[in-house]
Amino acid sequence: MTVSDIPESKAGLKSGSPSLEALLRRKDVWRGHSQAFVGQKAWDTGHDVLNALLLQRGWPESNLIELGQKHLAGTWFLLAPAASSLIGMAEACRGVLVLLNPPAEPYAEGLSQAGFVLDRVLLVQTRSKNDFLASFLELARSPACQMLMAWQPRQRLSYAELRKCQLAVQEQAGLYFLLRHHSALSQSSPASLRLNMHVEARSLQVELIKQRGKLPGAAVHIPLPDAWFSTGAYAGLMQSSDTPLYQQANATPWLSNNVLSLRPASGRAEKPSRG
Amino acid sequence: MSTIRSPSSPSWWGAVRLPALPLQALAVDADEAVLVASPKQKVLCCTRRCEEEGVLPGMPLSTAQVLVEARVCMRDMKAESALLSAVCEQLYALTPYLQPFSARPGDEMSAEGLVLEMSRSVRLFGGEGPLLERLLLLLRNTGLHFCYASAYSAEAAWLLSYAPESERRSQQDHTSWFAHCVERVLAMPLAAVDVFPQHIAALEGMGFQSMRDLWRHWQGDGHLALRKRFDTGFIEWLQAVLPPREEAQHDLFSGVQARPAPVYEPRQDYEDGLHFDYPIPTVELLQAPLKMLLQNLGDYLLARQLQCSGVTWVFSDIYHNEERRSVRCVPLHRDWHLLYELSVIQLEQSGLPFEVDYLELREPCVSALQSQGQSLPLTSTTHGNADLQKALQLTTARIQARVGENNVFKVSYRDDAIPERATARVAVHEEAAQGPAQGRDYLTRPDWLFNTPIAIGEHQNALQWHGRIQLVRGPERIEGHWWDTPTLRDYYIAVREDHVRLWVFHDLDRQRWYVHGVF
Repeated sequence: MTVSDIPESKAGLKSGSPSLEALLRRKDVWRGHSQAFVGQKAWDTGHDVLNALLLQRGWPESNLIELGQKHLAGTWFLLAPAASSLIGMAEACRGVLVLLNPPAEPYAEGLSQAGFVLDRVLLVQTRSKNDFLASFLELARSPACQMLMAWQPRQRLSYAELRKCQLAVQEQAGLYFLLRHHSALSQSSPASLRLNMHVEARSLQVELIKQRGKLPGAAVHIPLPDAWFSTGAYAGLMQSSDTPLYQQANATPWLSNNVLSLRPASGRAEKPSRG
Repeated sequence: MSTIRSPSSPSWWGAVRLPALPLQALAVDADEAVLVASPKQKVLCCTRRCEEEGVLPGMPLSTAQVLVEARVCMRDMKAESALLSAVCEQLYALTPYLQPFSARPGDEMSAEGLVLEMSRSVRLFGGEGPLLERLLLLLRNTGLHFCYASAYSAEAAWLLSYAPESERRSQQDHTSWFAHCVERVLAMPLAAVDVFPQHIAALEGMGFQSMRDLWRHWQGDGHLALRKRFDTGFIEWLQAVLPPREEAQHDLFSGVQARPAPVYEPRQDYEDGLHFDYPIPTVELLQAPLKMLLQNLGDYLLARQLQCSGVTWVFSDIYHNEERRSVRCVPLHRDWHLLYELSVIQLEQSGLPFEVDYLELREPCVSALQSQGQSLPLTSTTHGNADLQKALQLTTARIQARVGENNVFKVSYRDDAIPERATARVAVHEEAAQGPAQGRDYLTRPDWLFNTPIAIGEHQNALQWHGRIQLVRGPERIEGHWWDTPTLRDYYIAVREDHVRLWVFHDLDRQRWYVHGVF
């Protein structure tokens, strides 16, 4: 909203009028410069290139952060450094990390290796959009929830519902992520930070879709760990013609019980293109 | 024998032994041939028909079954406990100082009953005689077979319950009664003692025949030898059963005699309800009555210093149909608002079963108020931890009320080589075990694991799972469970053509490929 949008009778054009001043003091009113948003507290993302992209040099606290993704892959890689520093063992007075409506269950050994305290990781499975929304709001308003990772349910969230989520997260000091299919990023959203993540051959690409106080469009590439790549001598082993043939597996339904990508509008899975 | 000094106001303990409790708890027909067996296949007790055929308590069950063709029932501890509690509830009218008693706690063959201290109720009931008459009348009305005796201590009274003749306390002065009890106790043979059987057998082997023999040896320095030979529990029992002596180098008895009598806490049933002038169709209209009933519950908890961890709501309509809903939460003392919130959430989720004509609050899960020590807020850490913990409990309670308890959980590590067995769901209140910690750079394990590995096939000489898969690292051999489900797998990190990293394995037994996780 700008000054010109305010009706004359209500706001008054003279500077110094009480209602206009009150409006301009609001933190969510952009005044043409980023200064108002720089002072917000942020958590180090753990990736230097990503920190450079973000205005607060880290994940902003008390803000709704939208992450668009095509697959589940790369989620923990992106968020684990911040999460483990929030929920890590060294910090005694910390809350919990909550996974709301995750499409699969995390692997305990994998999380332990990543430095997570499993006793401080909670999972909540919801059955309907109403349950999801109510649980999100409850968790966002709780001081015990230090970090929330919420996967959008099958039904699309409306702007009003997203706005409720955005207002709820402002009540506490934590990190709040809403993970959605990348096609949902074309829908307008009140989230203060919107990113799209995409796994590439050797890096995880993170594209800035929206950030208050900064122009969108920039992208960074976070190098993937070396352990995920092949050793040279092994790379062609499975591709040799001597590889024995194996039985054809039973037809595997695309919609498996746990994981994967979501269809944009209705939330159902979409078939990936076959190469 | 040294002079036995009578205490100025001796305790008056009664012991009620219930020899047929296991049988009567099962409500069997007394005319039928029934054997009640212990888990170790020994006869605990039997009906008269079996006794006539020669069956004795303690006999192996197989032997008893040879002697008589009888129905065999296993002992039901829950039923016995309920029956004993019912007797305690009845006798609570006479004295609050009573408790269930077991001769040998933990021994399946131990006799059960109860003991009660009545000296403080004498004046209320007009003397020892009337009080005893009242007690015996109550016991007869229960319909149970019982053996009663009284003495100066619970242990002595229990021992006297095995005496062949019954004892009737008349209006005697304390000294006479005390002396009479002492004589009866000392006259009891050691064979009648049903506690510490091994120690009693050892004493009988040493030549002791009766309690009087033991009492004589207990005088002077004989007690030192007994202390060296037997454990503290047996010595304490001796101190309780044998009469106190006048000269004692160590005034050991006074501690035992002065032991406070146990106080019985009867079960307190709380019920409260509201009738409505017209049936209530919606949850919104029900909110005010819910608040009122919970407010009453809060006052009840405050008055009795209790805490509540859940209630049961009972809804009834005009046709007397009933529907129950249970609400559970963290223990509350007087703050009933959380119970109200959770109740409303549950009702909004499930809806009312019908138009409610009568609303009742039943069976609150109450317990004694736990004293919660509050740490001094010397550091922000300790203070913050308690606040966070409470906030977490409240949040999870609200969410569980909405989505169900099973849908809020943690994942825990299990020490197992097979990946799907190495992770398990645990409830929120349980502790999740931590797995081995390694640096993030190592990354040998995926972040997401499928509950069941998904079979993948081959196409054009390459693995295919929604795209072509290429193995990039491995293999890592994982095997185990040779004793039930032998598992032998070679795990690889693989990459799909859209660059998704997968954890795949080759099952060497089935000779098939599977996808198991996603990085």
